[in-house]
Amino acid sequence: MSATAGPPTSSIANATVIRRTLPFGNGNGNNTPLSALAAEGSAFGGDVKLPNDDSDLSDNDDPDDLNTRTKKKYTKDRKLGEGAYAVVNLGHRRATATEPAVPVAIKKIKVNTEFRDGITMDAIREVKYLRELHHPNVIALLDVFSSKNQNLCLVLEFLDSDLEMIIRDTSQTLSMGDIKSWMLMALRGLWWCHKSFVIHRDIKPNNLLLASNGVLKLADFGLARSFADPKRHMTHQVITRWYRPPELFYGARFYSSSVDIFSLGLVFCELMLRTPFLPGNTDLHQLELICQWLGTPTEENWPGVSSLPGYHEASGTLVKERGTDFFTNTFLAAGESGVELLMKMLRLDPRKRCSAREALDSKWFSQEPYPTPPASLPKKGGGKGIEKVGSDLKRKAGELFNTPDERGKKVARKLDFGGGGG
Amino acid sequence: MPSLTTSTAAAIARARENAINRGGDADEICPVCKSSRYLNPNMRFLVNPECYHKMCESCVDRLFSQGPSQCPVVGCDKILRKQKFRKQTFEDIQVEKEVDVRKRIAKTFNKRQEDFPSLKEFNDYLEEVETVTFNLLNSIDINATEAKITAFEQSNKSSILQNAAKAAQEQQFALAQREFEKEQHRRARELENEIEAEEKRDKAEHKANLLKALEADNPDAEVAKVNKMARKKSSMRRENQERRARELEAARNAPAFQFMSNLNRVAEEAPPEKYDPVDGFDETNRYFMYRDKYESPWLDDARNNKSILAGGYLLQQYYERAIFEAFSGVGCFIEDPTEEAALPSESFDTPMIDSAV
Repeated sequence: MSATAGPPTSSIANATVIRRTLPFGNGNGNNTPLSALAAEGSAFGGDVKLPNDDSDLSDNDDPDDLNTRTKKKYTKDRKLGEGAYAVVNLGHRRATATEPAVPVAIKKIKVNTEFRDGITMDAIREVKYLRELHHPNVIALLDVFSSKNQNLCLVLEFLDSDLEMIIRDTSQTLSMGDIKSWMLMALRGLWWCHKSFVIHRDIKPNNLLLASNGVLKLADFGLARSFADPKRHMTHQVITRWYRPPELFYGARFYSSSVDIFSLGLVFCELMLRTPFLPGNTDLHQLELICQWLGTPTEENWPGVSSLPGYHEASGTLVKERGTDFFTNTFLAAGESGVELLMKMLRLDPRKRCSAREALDSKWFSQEPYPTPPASLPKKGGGKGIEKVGSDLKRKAGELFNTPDERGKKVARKLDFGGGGG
Repeated sequence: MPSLTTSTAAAIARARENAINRGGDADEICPVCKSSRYLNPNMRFLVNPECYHKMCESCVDRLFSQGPSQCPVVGCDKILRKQKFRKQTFEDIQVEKEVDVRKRIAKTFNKRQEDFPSLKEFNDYLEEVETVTFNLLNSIDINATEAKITAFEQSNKSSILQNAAKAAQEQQFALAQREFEKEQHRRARELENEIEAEEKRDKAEHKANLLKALEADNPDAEVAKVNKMARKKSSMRRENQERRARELEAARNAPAFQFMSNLNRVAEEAPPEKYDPVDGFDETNRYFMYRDKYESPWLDDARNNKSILAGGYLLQQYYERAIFEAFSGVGCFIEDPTEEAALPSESFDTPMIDSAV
C-alpha cells in the first residue's frame, strides 16, 4: 500500500469524520443506505486517502456545516455532458494558501428520475465502491456533497480523454508498447478492484479514462457490485453488449470477476484492430459473433454450460473453440506471449479464464517491446496537434500542397494505387 | 416569324446529325438525352463507378435527384446514386475502371515484400492479387472473387491496418523529406547568388583601386600592391565559399536523419527497472491464510451445484472475502487511533479501522 501513489494523504481522522457525516439530511430515507455503507466502509481495507487537508474540519461535526464547507471548496466552471442519471460539470477546487487550484469533474446525480424515493442504484454503487477503492489506476472520488436542492454531487478527479478516442483516432499509430502499457494499467486497476472484492461489470474503452499524464484509470462504477455470497443471485443484464461474455447471454445468475477479464480481453483486441472485435446488433447476434469468432460453447469446452438457465443449443455449424493458430493469424502483431495472454482472457468457459493477477504475471509485459512509459503514450489528437492545425489552415481547401506550381504532381496523385490513404 | 423557328429547328437537327455522324464523338453529345455541346457549351459528363455509363450533368440531376434509381442506359440494371457520380479522369473508360479497381484492391492487399519469407512467396502473392484484379476487371467469377477478397480481409485484419498505417507514415516522411530538400536547394541558390554578387563587388573595387594606383606618384609599385591585395582577397573568398558549401552539405545530411528518427517514433528501449506486476504492492497476508476448501454442508451444496459453477462462480473468491472480512480488524489499535491510523498501513491485511464508527 505504501508504494501506491495517490492523492495527497490526509489524516485518517478527517476522513472518518467525512464518512460518518455524509450529507444527506433530507430525511426522506436516503440516509439509510448511505450510512449503512459508511459503517461497512472499513471492510475493504483500502487505505483512505482523501485530499481534505483543512484541519479545522474535525472541530465541527455538524453535517450541514461540513456540507457547506465541502461545497465551498469547489466551483463549477462549465457543463461537460449530461447522462441519463447525472449531469457532469467541469469545475475546480479553489486554490488554498498551500495548494493551487485543481480541475475536477463534478457529477451531479439527478434525484427522482427513476426511483421515486431516493437516488438511483448507479449513484449508490458509484459512491459505495469509489469510496473504498484507492489505486493509481482507479478514478479517485475526492469528495461528496449535496447541493441546495438536495442533489447529490460527486467530486471526481478530472480526466480529459478516454481510450475510445485514441482507438477511433486512426491518424496515429499505436505501437505494441503503447497497447501493452494501457493493458498493464487497466489490468492493475482491475486487479485492485477484484482484490477488493468488487466486480466492475462495465469494462469498455470509454470507461477507461486517460489522465493528461497518460495514466489510465478505471471509471464508471455505476454497475459495479461486490462479490456475491454463494447462492445469491446476480443480474445478467450488465456489461455493454459488445464486451459481454457468453455466460451472461446464457443468463448465468452466478458469475465472478472473470466477466471483467473477458471484457478487457475484447478491449485488447480492439486496441490492435482499431475497431470493435465483436460488434453485435442484438444480444442474439452478439452471441452468434462469439460463436463464430471464438468458438461455439459446448459441454466439451465448457462443462455444465447446458445447465445455464438461458442456454439453447447453437444451430448451424459448430466452431471449435479457437486455438493458437487462429489468434496468431488474426493478432499477429501481439507476438507469441501476447496471443497467449489474449487467449487466456477470452476463454469461453469462465472458470478457465485467467484472473487479473495471473494476467499481470504474463511474460508479455516483461518482454520487448517494453510497455511505453505513461508520459510518452499517444494523446488525444496526437502530439503535434497544434502544428497540424496550423498547417491545415495555411492550405487551400481540397489541396494537398501549398505551392501552385504542382499541377503535374496532381496527376500523379490520381494514378497512385497505394491504398495507404493518400 | 414561323419561318425563323423552322430554320432554327432545322439547324439544331443538322447539328445533332453532324455530331452523331462524326463517328458519334462521345464528347459532344449525351448518350442519354442526346443534347449536344453545340446547344449547351457548358455541358459536363459524369460517370458512376457502378457501371461507368456516361451521361451529362443535367441528366444526372434529372434522374437521380429524387433518390437512387436505375441506370437509364438500355440493358443496364444497376441502381445508381447521385452522390457517387463524378467527373471522368481518363478518356478511356476501361482505364478509369481499372484505376478504381486497383485502388480498391491495393487497400486490402497491401502486404509488402518484407512480410514474406522469400521472394518466391511474395511473387506468388502478387500473382494472386493480379488474378483477382483481372477477374474483377473482366467480370470473371465475380462472386467467387469477392468471396476471396472478403476472406483475405477477415483473416488479415490487423496486418492490413498495420501496413496502411506504415504507408501513411512513409508518406508523411516523404513529404517532410521533400520539404526539406526544397529548403536545401533554396539555400544553395542563395549562397550562389551571394557569391556572385561578392565577386562582382570585389572586381569593381579592384578596378577602382587600380585607377587610383595609376594616379599615384609611383604607379608600378602601387599597382603591384593592389594586385597582391586582390589576390589575397580572392583566395580568402574562395576559402570562405568552400567552408560554407561544406556546412551546407553537412546540414543536408544530418537533419535528414533527425527527421527519420522523429517520424518513426520508437518506444524507449531498455526497461528502467525490473517488471513488477503489481507496481510495488505488498501482497503478503500477515494474519491469515486461505485454505483450498472449507467444510460446510451449506458450501458443499453450492460446490456441487452445476448451474452455479457453470456461470463461472468461484467459491475460492467467496472464501477469500469471508476470511478477509473476518480478520480485517486485526492489527488496528483502537485506543490510539489518530497516530496509529495516520501511519500508512503496511500491507493489505491491516485495513484501517475507525475508532469513531
